[in-house]
Amino acid sequence: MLFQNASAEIALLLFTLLVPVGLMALAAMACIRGFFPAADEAAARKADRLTTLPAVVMLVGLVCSFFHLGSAGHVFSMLGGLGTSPLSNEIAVAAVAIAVGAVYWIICLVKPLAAGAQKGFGIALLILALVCTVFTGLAYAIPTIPTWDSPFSCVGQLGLALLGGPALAAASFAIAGYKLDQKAALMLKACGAVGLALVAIDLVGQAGVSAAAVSSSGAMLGAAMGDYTMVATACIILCGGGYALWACSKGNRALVCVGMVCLLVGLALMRVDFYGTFLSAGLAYL
Amino acid sequence: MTKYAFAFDASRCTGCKTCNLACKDYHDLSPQVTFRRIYEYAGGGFVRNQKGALTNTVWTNYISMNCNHCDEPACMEVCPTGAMHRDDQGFISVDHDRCVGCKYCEMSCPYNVPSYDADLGQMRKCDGCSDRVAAGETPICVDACPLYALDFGTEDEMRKKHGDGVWLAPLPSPDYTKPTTIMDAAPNSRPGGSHEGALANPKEVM
Repeated sequence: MLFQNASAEIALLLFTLLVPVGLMALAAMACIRGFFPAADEAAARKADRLTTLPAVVMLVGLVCSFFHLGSAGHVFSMLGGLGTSPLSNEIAVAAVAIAVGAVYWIICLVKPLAAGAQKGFGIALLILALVCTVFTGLAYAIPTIPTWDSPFSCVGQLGLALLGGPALAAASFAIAGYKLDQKAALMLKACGAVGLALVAIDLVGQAGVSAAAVSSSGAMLGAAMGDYTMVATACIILCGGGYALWACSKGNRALVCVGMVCLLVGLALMRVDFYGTFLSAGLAYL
Repeated sequence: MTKYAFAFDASRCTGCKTCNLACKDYHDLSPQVTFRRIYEYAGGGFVRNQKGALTNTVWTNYISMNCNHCDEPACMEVCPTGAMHRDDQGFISVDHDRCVGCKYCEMSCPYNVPSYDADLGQMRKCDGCSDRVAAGETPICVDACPLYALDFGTEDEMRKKHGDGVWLAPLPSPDYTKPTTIMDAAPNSRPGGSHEGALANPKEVM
């Protein structure tokens, strides 16, 4: 049941993984370029061009969301529920955040930004990325889906963004050959550590909420909880291992990149677990 | 706006699915799309009596359920486009000029009512045969039921005839969305909240 539920929502899984990670990575890169400007101009320009990596991740996530829609031609109607529909709210916030992220990326490609502008974009993107992440989580906190109607819908999303985003930023800087200031590197890793903790909390919390939501269908979810535990274990190993590779890489390009890939795969598994535990009030009761 | 309600008498229902088929035929639905689901809720087993003989305590009952056109519909609350709306007859229906096929309503409905029509790329659901009702007729499922288990009329008429109804297992709590369907129990029905039985036909209703 877990894999069946998750595979039915693969487009949404990729959207909710890649957009927050890409946005947070762009925010991290802008903040570091603004608050810890590099002396090496050439590396700085290369780093600006490497914003393409998180931007592409973000845009691939956006494109994936369209594959979830049966009638994408009506997509502009999706803001019709603004203020009432959690999905409309999420889309509105994501649209603004992705637009700002895309503008930042394009400007970075075209010309070097002054430190002040980098700071401005960094703070704006950071706020937008966090808000977008929270609203993405809130879109799933629906009262008639008891397995998702908990704070863990947001906790998991925040963990994903705070872990995946800084890791992707670190990988982008490493590929560009941009030597990170020690404080900047430490801040990225600290962010990642908070994200990793939130991911672990989410996996445990989501399991508890899912198990509690089931009454007479205990046997059905019981089988799925075995799968959940297996996937959660793989997630923790990949995220923990990926974080360790990144944290101990000392700027080694290969280690940072391998660590980042492990993280992203681990975070994708976290989303598999989340979508896999879908159970509406009617089904939960059965 | 006149408020209408369906009524269902479980003591008359044999689970024949004529209502389901009449609806599918009338609305020309594909095999993947259904507007009415028939839940078979069953339980019991075999016990040995004092003389050592086996007797059965097996029981079953059926609930035929379309959209409940709830007073607090989860589908309308979550719909991002406003496609899910209450029409002039008071029924919850899909505006196909706005529906984007995101399936958010299908996820959120506790009765699993909205169906995704892959050919259309949009959601479809029971609209209470709104056109028939506007023309002074009753919904096709009500007309088709050979045992008169289904009824339809204004809410006042239905409450006078059937009372306020009861919450039956295995349906979720009416507190979630305040469904308007008035249900009468069968002798084998279990009250809502009971975990005594199990859904015997999950693949037909999920």
